[in-house]
Amino acid sequence: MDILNKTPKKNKDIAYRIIDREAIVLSLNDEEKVNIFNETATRIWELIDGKNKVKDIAQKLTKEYQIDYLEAESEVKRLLEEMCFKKLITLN
Amino acid sequence: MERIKVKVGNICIEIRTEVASIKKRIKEHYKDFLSQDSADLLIDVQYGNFLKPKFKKVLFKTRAWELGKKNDFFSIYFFHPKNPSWAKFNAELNHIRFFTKDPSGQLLLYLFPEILFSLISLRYQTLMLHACGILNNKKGHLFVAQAKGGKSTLAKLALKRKLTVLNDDRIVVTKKREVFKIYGTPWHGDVENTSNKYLDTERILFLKKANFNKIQLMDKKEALIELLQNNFCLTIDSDIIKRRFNFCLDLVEKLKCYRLYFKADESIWEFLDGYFK
Repeated sequence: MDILNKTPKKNKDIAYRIIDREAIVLSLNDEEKVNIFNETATRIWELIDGKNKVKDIAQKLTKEYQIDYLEAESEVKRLLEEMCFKKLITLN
Repeated sequence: MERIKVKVGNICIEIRTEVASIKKRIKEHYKDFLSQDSADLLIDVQYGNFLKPKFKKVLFKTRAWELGKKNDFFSIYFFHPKNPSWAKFNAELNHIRFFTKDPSGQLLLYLFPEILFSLISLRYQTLMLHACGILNNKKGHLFVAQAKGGKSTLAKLALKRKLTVLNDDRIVVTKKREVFKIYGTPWHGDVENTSNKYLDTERILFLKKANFNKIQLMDKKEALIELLQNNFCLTIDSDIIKRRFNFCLDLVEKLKCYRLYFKADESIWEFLDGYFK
């Protein structure tokens, strides 16, 4: 399946909080590493609700940040892949 | 059998033993922390021989002890060529049978209770920090630093000024209805002065040795990372990891966090007095 139609989901074994518009995310399987997201990554994190597909997140970012869709899509894909690599989310 | 109760922070530990030498040492060591409150935890000390436990799974190991599971119950075995000890927990982690061949009870004064705290404290909305706590002008100061970071130095300078030192190395922080209190503990570092007092605190100061005195407000995320590196918590499962994370997050969100660069002389306390009027 093309990544744009996949639905990202937050992993169950994570803990997070948003402080000053930045998400602090901890994988409970890797307690040594605290992940701190910038504002854009935090917004993407908030939009990962188990319902939004990757393309939906890109579209929302396009609207909210008033940027080109392809630019948003590229950034969303990059960040989601990174989150997936760090086992913070799954992409199904 | 005499029951001795020791309260550190908001956790009351009852220690039962028939061994006179151990009783005496416990009462002496914990004299400022003795309590009549109802106990949260019970330690039954049994002196004599025992078989070394075989752990199905070892979770943590140091040169002095190992924490493992035997028959689904947590246990800590303390290595010693002649006088080993073994702490066997019940399922709720509130009743410990402490087997020992050591009549001095030394492990009950330092190492074991510190490990115990690290294991159970978050169940009581409590966390032990690698920190120094000092009372100055009715204000509680919490100074966090790793080993050799300046905590004992600051404590010694505080004593010169006749301030109350809660502890120069281990401070217990409790949370109750969004209010954080800091408590002294009996497990000190270089400075033997300890106090069972507790204080409300509005701030955490993260220490950095320097040739000058300076305070900077700290980014909360940076403060969180330092707190996570400077606490005593045995993260035996993901629930504890999550609780510790949330506790530290609550702390940095609620309290003002500062980086304190300090010069190791008495000027630091004049500086702090001036800054926090």
